[in-house]
Amino acid sequence: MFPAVARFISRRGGSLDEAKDVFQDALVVYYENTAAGNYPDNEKAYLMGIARHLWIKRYRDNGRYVPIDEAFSVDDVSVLHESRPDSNKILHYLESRSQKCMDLLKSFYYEKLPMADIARTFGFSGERSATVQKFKCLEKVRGIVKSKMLTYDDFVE
Amino acid sequence: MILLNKLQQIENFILRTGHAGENLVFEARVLTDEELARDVALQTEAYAIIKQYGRRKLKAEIASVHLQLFTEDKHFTFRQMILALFKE
Repeated sequence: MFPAVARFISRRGGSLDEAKDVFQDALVVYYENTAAGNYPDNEKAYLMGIARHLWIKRYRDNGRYVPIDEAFSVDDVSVLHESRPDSNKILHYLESRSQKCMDLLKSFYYEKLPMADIARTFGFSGERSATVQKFKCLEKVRGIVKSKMLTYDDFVE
Repeated sequence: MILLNKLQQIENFILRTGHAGENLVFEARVLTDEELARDVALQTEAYAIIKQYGRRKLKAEIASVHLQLFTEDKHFTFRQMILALFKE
């Protein structure tokens, strides 16, 4: 699939690095859509369509390809260029101190895996206790976000 | 410490996983309760952070596959084919 995207980008004057960024972003969008339950009839055509859309939209607006912002939906153009240094700091903090919590939350909210599978993977006795832990982890993230609103100092390592 | 069932209620509202009627009632409460509105904003931000974390991990996995394709000997032919596309 990458050669087809690379050919498309090269014909439109893009570089290999831009082809790489477009393809990787297209995979992310594809993954998020399928995780949300939207399965295309023709996977290759769908992926190529996403790549073409990303290139046209994000190249046209900037004169070069700008990879999608990690924090936002690609459709939400209005906030794509908003800088979010705070969320990077928070994420860095959470990654270093609450990795297991973040992985649990990622499984549920990002990968949208069934709670029964998550309970097994993370070694919980059942869905109920995994759900309770999920909310405790969510509360932890909320707490960090909240404290960030009060002070930035704690996040400067 | 906020109660877990309150987190669940807010989640149902934000992610639209709850009953449509309950979401409407909840929305009316958010409009009149400042503290609840702050809680909703906080939780929305938390979901954005989790999404950012998920994307970052996924991108790292994809990047490592890309690195293999562009460094390992067994993918030499593939690499040459791609590089040829970007020659003048």
